[in-house]
Amino acid sequence: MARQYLTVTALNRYLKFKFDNDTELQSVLLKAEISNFKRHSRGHLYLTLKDDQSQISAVMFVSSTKNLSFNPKDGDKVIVEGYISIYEAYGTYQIYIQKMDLDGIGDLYLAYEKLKEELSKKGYFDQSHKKSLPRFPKTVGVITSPTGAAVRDIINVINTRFPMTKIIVYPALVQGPMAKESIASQIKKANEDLLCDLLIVGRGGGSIEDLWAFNEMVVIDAIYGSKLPIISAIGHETDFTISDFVSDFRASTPSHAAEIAVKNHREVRNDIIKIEQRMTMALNNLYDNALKHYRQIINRNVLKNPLRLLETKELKYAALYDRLLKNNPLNQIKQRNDLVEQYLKNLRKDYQYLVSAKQKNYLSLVEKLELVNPLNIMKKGFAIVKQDGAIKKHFKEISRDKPLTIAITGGEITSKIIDMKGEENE
Amino acid sequence: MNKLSFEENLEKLEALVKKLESGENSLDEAVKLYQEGIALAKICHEELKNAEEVIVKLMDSDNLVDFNKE
Repeated sequence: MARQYLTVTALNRYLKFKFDNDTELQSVLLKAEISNFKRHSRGHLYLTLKDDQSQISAVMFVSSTKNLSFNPKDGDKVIVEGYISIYEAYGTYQIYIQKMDLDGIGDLYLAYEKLKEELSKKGYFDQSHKKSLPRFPKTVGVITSPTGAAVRDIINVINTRFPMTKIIVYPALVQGPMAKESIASQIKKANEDLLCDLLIVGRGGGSIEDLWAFNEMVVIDAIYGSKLPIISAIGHETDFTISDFVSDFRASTPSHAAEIAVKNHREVRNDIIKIEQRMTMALNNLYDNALKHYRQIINRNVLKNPLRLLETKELKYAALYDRLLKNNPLNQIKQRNDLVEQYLKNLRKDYQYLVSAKQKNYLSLVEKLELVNPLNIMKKGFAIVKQDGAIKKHFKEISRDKPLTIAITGGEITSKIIDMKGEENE
Repeated sequence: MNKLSFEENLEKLEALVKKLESGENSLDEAVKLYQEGIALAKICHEELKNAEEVIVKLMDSDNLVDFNKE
């Protein structure tokens, strides 16, 4: 049976496949010591992990180094978490480190990690739960050892920065088995007293065991439940306790906590001066603008020459008045008067015509009348005989006994009838 | 009695003059319109005169004064 020969590449690829598919190798926790530590220019870390009998090469990519809480160096005892894989080109296997911490804390550290993760899930560290810090706390409560350097630092810094701030120290044991209860009860007491606007809870630097009280649940709960905002100031800059995560603000040191708690009075004074200047400037601007506005307004033509207001009205009025006068009904009256005169003239003319016609007629009548005028007839030798005032035209109308009046040209004669002789054939 | 504003009176006068100008009125109407027109014109004139007097008085007494800071 012929045996099959592999290429090196194929072998390495096969081994890599085997490694990568072994779940045990994909999550490895290792306790070791660092040697051959090298930092690549791109930020990757190359190192060897060893114990007294064996070693393994290791790499930590720059993306994983962000959460590194210490500066690794040769000889450091560390605990690492990572996966094993093969680098095909060299046929070497190595551990790809995802997480690395200093060892020496052993079980404490693991307990810390576990609790931290648990509380994080429960929302103890949520940003939404954090209270904002007062800008100018009147009274700051300090919960720490009354004899340590921390309390002195805090008092010094506060007195230098903002001397008006009152400080109440709530003395607490900050290490040892009694510490956690002591710290927790003082936080609660400060919350009951309500004498402070802000609490600083902390202590100076020490080993992780020294700081351990601040990883205890009773302290964490007291901080979480505090109505007063809390600045944690535990150990040095590189020390992180769970109290730091649950507090409203984490200060790297007690002095730092005091700096966060109160502002520097000089800066505050400068701020006030700046605000004053801004206020004055704002007011001046306001005044300037108002003045400018006022000037613009009073320089408007209508205020300079208020009589112009009237001018257009006056013009309109004058035009109307002219039109009114032009339409004076006198013209109309004159027109009508003329008309009446005309009519009158015509009437007069007509009348005269009528009168003259009548007159002509009359004269002709008079002429005719003249012809029959009895006086004229009498002038020819005729007389009129009357009896009892009435003209008698016939013999028979005359009675013998009554006087007879004879009208003749020149007068009347009254006579007595002497004889009467009528005509025979009558 | 006449509580109308100057403009209202002027408007009335204008309407009246227009009507008078139309020449379609009887003499009676024309005389009445003219009478009314003269009365309105008098009111307008009075108001103009009053306004002018007020303004002149104000200009004399309360001259608008420019002023400076300080």
